Amino acid sequence: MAVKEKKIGFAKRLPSSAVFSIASTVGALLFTSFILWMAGAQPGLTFEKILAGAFGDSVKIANGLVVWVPLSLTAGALIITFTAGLWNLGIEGQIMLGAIAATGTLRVLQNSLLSPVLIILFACLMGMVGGALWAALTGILRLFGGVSEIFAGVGLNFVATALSLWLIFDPWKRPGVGSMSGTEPFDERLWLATIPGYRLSLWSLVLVVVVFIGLFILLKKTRFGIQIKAIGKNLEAARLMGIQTRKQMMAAMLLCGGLAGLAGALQVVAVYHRLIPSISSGYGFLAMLVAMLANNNLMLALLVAYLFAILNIGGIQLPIVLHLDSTLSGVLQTALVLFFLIMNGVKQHLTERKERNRHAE
Amino acid sequence: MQSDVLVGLAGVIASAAPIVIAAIGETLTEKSGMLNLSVNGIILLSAMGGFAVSYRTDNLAAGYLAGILIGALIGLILAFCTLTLYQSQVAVGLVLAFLCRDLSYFLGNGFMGLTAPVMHSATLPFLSELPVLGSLFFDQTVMTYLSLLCIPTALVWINHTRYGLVLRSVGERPEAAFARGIDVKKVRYLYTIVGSALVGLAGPIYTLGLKPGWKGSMTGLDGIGWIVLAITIFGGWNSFRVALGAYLFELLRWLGLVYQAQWSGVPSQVLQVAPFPLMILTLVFVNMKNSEWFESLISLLPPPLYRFFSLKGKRNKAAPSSLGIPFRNV
Amino acid sequence: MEIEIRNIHKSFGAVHANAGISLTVHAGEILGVLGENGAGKTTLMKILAGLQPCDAGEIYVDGKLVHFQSADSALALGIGMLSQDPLDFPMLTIFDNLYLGRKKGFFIQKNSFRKEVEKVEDLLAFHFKLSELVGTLSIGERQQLEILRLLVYGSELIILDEPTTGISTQQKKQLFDLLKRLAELGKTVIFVTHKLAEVNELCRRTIVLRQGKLVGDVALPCGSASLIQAMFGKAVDLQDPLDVSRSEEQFEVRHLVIKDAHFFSNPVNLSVRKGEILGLAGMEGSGQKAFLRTLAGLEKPLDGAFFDEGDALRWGSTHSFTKRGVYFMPAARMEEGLIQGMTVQEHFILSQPAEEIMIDRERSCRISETRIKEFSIHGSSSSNAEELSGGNQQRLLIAMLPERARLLLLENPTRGLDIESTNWIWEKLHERCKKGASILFASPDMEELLRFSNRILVFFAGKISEPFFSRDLNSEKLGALIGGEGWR
Repeated sequence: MAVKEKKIGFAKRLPSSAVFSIASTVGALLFTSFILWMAGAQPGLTFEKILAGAFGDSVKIANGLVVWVPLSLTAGALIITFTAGLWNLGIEGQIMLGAIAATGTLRVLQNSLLSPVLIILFACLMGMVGGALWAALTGILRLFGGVSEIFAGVGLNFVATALSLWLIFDPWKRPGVGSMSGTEPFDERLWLATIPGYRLSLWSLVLVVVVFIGLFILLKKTRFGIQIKAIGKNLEAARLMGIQTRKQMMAAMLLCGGLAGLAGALQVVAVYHRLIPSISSGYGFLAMLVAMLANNNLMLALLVAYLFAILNIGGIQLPIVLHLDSTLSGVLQTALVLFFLIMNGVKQHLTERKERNRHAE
Repeated sequence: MQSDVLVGLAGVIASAAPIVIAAIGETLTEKSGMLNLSVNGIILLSAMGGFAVSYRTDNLAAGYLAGILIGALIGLILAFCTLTLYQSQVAVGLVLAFLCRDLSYFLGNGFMGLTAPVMHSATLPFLSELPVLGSLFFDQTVMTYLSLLCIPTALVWINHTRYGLVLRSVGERPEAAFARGIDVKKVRYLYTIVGSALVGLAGPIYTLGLKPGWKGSMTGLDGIGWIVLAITIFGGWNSFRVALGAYLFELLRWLGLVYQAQWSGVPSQVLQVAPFPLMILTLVFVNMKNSEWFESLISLLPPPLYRFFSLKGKRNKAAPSSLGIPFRNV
Repeated sequence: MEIEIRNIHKSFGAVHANAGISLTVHAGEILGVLGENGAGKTTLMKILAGLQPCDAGEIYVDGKLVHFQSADSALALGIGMLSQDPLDFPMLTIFDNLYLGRKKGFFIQKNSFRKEVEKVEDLLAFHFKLSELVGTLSIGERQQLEILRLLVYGSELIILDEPTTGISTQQKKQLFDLLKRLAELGKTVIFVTHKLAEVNELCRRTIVLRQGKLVGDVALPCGSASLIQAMFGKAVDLQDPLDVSRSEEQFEVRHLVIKDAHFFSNPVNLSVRKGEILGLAGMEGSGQKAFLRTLAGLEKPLDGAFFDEGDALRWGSTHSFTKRGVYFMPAARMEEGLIQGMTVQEHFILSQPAEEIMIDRERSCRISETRIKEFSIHGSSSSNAEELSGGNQQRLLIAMLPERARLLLLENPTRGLDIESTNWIWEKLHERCKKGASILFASPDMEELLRFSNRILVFFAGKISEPFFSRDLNSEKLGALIGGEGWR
C-alpha cells in the first residue's frame, strides 16, 4: 500500500502546545473566578490582592522565596520517584521526619562544644537520614508487602503527624506545659544565617541550586537516571532488559525521602528554629502538584514552584483584607493541574484524530 | 452498665453509617474497573456543601441531596477525564482529592460555626421495643437505616441481578465484555457517577447528623476518605465484608475513646491517628493472604481453620482484574 | 445456514492481511481453513464473527447482506467464534459466564436458564458444574464451555481458531467428536488450523490461505504434498548453516524442567556449541517462550541446572546472566522490548553492559550512530522508539544486543520483516556466530528455522523434543512434528 503525500490543510493543523498551556491557565482562572463569585467575592480584586500580597514589598518577595526553597526541594525529590513510576504520597511524612530528626540532633548537640556550623550541618544530614528511612518504610511496604505506595504513604503521613505531636506534647515539651506553638526555640547561634531583616537564608537558596544541578546530573547523566526512567515507563520491559527493578525503585524512594528530609530539616534550622506541629505545611502535596504541572521537568519545576510559592504568600493576607480563606491559593493551584490534565487529554485526542484521518486518506 | 455498652454499640453503628455508604459506593465504582482516589475530597466537599445548602434553605433533605449531587459531579469529572480523555486514573483522582479539599475549606469559610437542621433519630414503632436489637438497630436516624439497607441491596445487585453481572464482567475482563455486546465505557461512566454520589452522601451524614456543623479543618473529616478506600480493599469488594470492616473500624475507635482515660499522658491527637497504621497493617495482611507462601504456611493448619483463612477459589475476595487499567474500544 | 463472503479486504498499516477473499460455506459442513502463521486466517475469521471490521467486502447470511458492529450482533445472527484465547471470564462462575449476554430480565433467572443450559448439554453429552469458577477449568474444558455458550445463544455457525493448541490428545479427540456431532445436528463449523493431519481427519473440504489470499479450495481427503505446496508456495530450498561440529561446547542445560502458564515441560538435556544456532519450532504458546526466558534468568525453572563452561548460573537475579553474556530479546516489540517515550540512543545506553555510574554521552552517541547505520534503521538517535515503523523497531531490538553477548536468546527475531531484511538480519547474526556466540531462537516460520539453524528443538503442547539436525528434516517432516505427529 503506497502512502500518498497529501497536503494537510490549515484547518487540520494542530495548534502548538503553547495554545494548550494558555487554554489550561485561562480555564483554571475562570474556574477560580467562578468559585470566588460563589463565595461572594470580586475575582479581579482578589487576584489583585494576591499579587499585592506576594510582591507588595521586599519582605513579601523574600517570603515568597522562603516558601520556594522547601517547595522546589520537595518537587525535585518527587520527580525522582515520579520518574520511577512511584506515586510517593508519603512525601509529607518524609518532610516531617526530616524535621523531627533534625530537631532531635539539635537537642542532643546544642550544649556540646562543637561549632554551630558543624551542628547545623549534622542536623541537616540527620534530617536526610530521617526522611530516607521514612521513605524506606513505604518502599518496603510497596516492594515486599504488596501495599500500594499511595496507601502506605498516606497512612504514614498521619503517623508522622502523630509522632511530631507526641514529641511536642510529651518528651520535647516546653518547660512547664506543651503547646501547639511547638518546642522551645533553639539558641540563636544554631540558626542558619538569614539576610538581616528578612526570614530568607541565602544558604538555602544556594542549596536549592546545588541540589537541582545534582538532580539534573542524576536523572540525565547517570545510568541510574535512565534506568529509573525505563522502569517508570515500562516496568516489564525494563525487567526483561536486565535492569534490577526492585533495587532501583528502592533507591529512588530513599533519594526522594532524603531530599524531602533535607527540606524538613531546613524548615527547622532556617525558618522555625523549633519543631512545630505541622512543620511540612502541606508543601509535600503541593510539591506533588508542582511536579505534575511541570511534567517532571526540573527547570519547569523550579518555575512552577515559584509560581505556587507566590500564590501561597499572596493568599496569606486574604483573610485579613477580604475575609476570604487563604486556601483559595490551593484551589487555584489544583485547578491549574486539573485543567492541565484536561487540556493534555484534548491534545492527545486531537492528535489521534489527525493520525486516523491521515491513515484513512 | 449494660445499657452503657448498648448505647455505645448503637453509637458505633450510627457513626459507621457514612463509612458503610461511602465504601459501598467505592466498591461499586471499583467493581467496574475504575479507581476513584478522590473519595477523601468528595466527603469533605459534600460535607461542607450539604451543610451550606441545608443552612441556606433550612431544609434537611436539600442538604443531603446537595451532597449526592456534588459527589455525582466529581464522579462525572473523573469519568470524563479518564474514560473520554484517557488521563491517568491515579493522577486525576489525586488532583480531584486535593481540589475538593481546598474548595471545601475555602467555600466553607463563611459557614463556620453556624447551625443548620440536624437529623434526629426516627424510632421505629414495635421493632425498637425488641430487647437488645431494638436499641441497637431500630432507634437510629434515617441515614443509619439507609446504610443498613445498602448492604444487602448492593450484595443482591452485584451478585443476583443481570446488571450486576454486567458490572462484574466489565471489571474483570473488559475486552471479553465488549465482545458480548456490552458498552464498557457507558457502564464505567455510570458506576463511577453512582459510586461517587454515594460517597457524596457520606459528607452530609457527618455535618448534618453525627458531628453537626462545619468547622473548617477542625471538622476532623480529613483522612476518612483514605480509610474508606482501605476498607474497600479490606472488604474484598464484597459489600457485606466491606460493612463489617467499617463496623470493626468504628468499634476500635470507640474502644480507643473508652480507654483513653487510662492513657492520660497521650495527647488525643495521637489516638486519632491510630486507625492509619492499623490500615497499613490490614493491607499488608490482605496482600499476604494472596501470596503463595502464606497459602503454604496455613495449609499446615487444621482444615476448618485453613478454610477460614484461605483465599483459594474464593471469587469475591480478589480485586477486579482490570482495576485501574484503561480500556479502549477497537 | 449458508454464509457467503465476497471480496474481503483488511490491512494493518502496510500489511495486507486479507486481499480480496471470497468464499461460500454450506450448512452442516465442517470447513477447514489451512495456512501458516500470518497467512490471514485469524483476521478473516474475526471479520466473519464481528470482532473486527473489514476495510471492504460483503458478508451474506442466507442470501441477505449483513453488517456486524460487534461479536454480539454476529451472534444474534447465529455466528459465533471460539477465539484462540477464549474470551471468557476466569473469575466468574460457569453459570455467570454463560448468563452474560442475555438481554432481558432484572434478576438472574437461575432455574429457567439452568434448564436451558441443561437441554443443550444433553444434546452435546457433557455437563458442567455451573457453580465452579471458569478459571478452574482446563483449556480444553473452556473451549467446550465456549461452544456450549454459543449454542445456548442459538449459534448456527461456529468458528474455531486453532482450538487444538495447548490441549491433550484425548481432549482433542473429544473436541473432534463434538464437532462431528454438531455437523450432524445441522450446524456449520469452520475449523482454522495449520496442522494438516487435523484437517484430513475432520473435514471434507478445506481452503488454503497464503499471504492474505485464498490459494486453494480442496476436497478431502487428499495427499499432504499438494496441501503443503499450497500452504508454503514453492518447495523450501535449503542452505547449509555454519559447520560447528568441531567447535567446543560452551553452554549446557541439564535436566531442565520449565513451567508455563498451562504445563510443566519434560526434562531437557542440551549442550550448545560455540557458533551454533538452535531453532525452537512449534506453535506459539507451546513453551518456547518460557524456555528462552528461563535460560535468560528471567523465570525460575522447576528443576535442573544451566552451565556456562562448567560454571552453574544461579537464578534469582538476571545480573549474573548478563554478566556472563547471556542476553534475551522478547517478541512483543512495544509491550516488552522497547520503551515508549524513550529515544533510540537511550535504548542503546540501557542495553549496553556497563558498570560505571555516569553515562558517557559521546561514546553512547557514537555507538548509537554506528548501530543505526550498521542496521539501517530509518530514524535518528533522538527519535522515540514508538515513532519507528515495525520493521525498524525489530532492527533496533536486534541492534541493541551487546557486542560481548555469548548466548543470544531471541523470540521471533525477524517478526514483521520481509524476506530481504530477514536475510540481512541473519547475515548480521551469522557474524556474531563466527565470533563465537551461540544463538537460540524461536520462530513460527518453518523456512527460517530450516535455513538458519544447525539443530532444531520442537515444542508441542509443553513437550520438548530431542534436538534434530536440520539437515535431517524438511518442511514436511518439521510441519508434521509441529502438528504433533511423528513423535517417538
